[in-house]
Amino acid sequence: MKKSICLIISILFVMLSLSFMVRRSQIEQPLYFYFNAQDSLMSKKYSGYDKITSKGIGSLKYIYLLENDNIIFTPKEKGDNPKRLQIASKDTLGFNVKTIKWLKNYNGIQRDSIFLRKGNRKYYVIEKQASDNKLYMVEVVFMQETE
Amino acid sequence: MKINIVVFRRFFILFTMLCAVLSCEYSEPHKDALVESETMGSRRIVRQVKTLFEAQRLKQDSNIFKGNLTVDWQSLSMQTKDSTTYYVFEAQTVEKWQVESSILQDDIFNVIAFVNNNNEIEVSLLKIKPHKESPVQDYSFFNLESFGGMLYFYNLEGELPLIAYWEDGQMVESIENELIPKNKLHFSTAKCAQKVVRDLKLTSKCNSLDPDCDSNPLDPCRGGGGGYVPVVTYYYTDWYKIYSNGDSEYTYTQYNGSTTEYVYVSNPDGGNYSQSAYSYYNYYASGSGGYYTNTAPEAVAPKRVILDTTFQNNDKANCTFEQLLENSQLKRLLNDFFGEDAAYDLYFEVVPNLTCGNSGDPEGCTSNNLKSEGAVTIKIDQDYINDVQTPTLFIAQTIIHEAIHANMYLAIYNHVNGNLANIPDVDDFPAIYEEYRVLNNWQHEFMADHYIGLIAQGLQEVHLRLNDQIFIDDLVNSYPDLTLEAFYTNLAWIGLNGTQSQTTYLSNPDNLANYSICYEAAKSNSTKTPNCN
Repeated sequence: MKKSICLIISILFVMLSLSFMVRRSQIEQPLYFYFNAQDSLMSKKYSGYDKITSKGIGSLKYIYLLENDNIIFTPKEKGDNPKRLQIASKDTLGFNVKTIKWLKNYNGIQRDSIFLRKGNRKYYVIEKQASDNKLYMVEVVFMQETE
Repeated sequence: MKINIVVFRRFFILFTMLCAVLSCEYSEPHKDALVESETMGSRRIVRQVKTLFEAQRLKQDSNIFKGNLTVDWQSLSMQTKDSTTYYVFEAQTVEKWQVESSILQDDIFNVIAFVNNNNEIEVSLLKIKPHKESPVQDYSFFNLESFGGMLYFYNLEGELPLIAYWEDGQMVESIENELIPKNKLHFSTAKCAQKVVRDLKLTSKCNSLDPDCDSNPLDPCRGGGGGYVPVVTYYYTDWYKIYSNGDSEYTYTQYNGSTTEYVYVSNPDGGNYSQSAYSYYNYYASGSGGYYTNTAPEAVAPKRVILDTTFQNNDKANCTFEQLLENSQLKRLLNDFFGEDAAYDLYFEVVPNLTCGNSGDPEGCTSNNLKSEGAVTIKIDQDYINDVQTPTLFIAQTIIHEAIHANMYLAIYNHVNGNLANIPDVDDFPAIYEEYRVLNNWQHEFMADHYIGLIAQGLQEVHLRLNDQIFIDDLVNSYPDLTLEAFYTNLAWIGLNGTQSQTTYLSNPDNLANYSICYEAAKSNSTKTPNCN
């Protein structure tokens, strides 16, 4: 009798674990990108040499200059006041923040796959505001532009 | 803190008004309110209410709700309760915003005013939205007997601080928009309630992929009783061409804006409850006492070309686009963009000081928002269009050029997501994509190699419709060695500077001379006046 109960509990445990894993797998991990709005340079903490362009301090557009294409993030909430969540510098270590170097590991088609595939992945830009020298996280959406 | 006090005060005022509707035994409405309004005090208040309302309307002219509301200032009715006199005026929206509904009766609007304790006049808008099941009556702020449906109290800023759900002349629930009471939403945990409050504000729904919040036997988002779901109404006008033989042809869809309302949905069966507008429609579609499906049906968006008002209001852009719609090449691009059943939108806008990625001073720009918004947006620079030196033929060229970019973006999006890529004149897009993707400025390289002919044909077709025959005749007479096909082919290269194909083409001195002749001739002498007929 005890064995049966143990077996049932074990099966239930395994099923619940699998069920949880299946559900978790449906959520793609967010991608975090770091910008320094003060001097338009990628933070040395994450990448020592890759230059980025941020169109004006407090601008709504953030552009990676890549070899073949522009990759642009715009705040998810349109308007001049996107929601900015202040974060502590040490917190960014847990976000696995992405850099230009990381992006350049992929070719153009792979990058398109990362950003264009249907899914529920969220993107965040971590920016350093010039006004108060603090870090803020902004949810952004990916877009491309061609003249 | 000051803001909170103001918000609280407004909410308090509206709530007081709701209580007045609910619990008070009104005295009979004044039989002859118009006569009473002739008294000095009433006339002053009516005048002030009108001034307040109209002043706010001017400030909020872009607001769909108020911009289309007309108030009958002669329709005053008054009632007094607890020393407060309420002044109510009938109002209605302009007919074009009325939406036929199988579940709701037409909206009824009241403008309500009263004098508060500080001797200030408070003005609100009340929208009464009766269910179909509710007896058909002339409901008003003073007459809600047997009423079933929703009451929406708006302030003059167009915000919706308070809504209430009624059945059989009694209020069932009320809700304040910014601080939705958690217990009213029947969620067992504060976490999920906060999440749903956030989702409601985003007019979204309970995230169906959140393991804490859906498809879970212990789903805290589930629950009987009911709740509020956001219903977003998008307003569009479809425009058709009507031919003399009676046939009609779809041309484009004009986007007029959207409104969001929160609708209370009761759930007597206590079954699954999905916080989405779709559930709301499912509920009513299934009849009274139906239940919610936990899986919202796919939103089937019609294929749409949406012209922003900035585009519509610019004759040079809009009329040239209208002429292009007669163009078989642009039709091919649009048909390929939308395919048979695509749910993507193509927006056209005119914007001042256009920027495009890191480009310097672009005439046009195509933005790919397919993942985030299911749309591609084509923007044309306002200064470029309005420049007296910009012929309409160039604007047509820019539109065709950007429409090809739109097709490429959609093709990539489809390809990356494992769908058949739609793009004209290309049988194997994945292979082409692989080949060109490694190039800088690859879309222009691709366009230069594959679409010069399509652009040239499109320009030749539309030019006949731009009222530019004098220029065409002069061109033929002035340059007898230059064929019209060559003229349009040279114009097709505009915007492809720096591509390998254009560099090769212009490396031929004859081509370079012809390109210069064609460009300068068109710029100097082609018509700048749009053909809006």
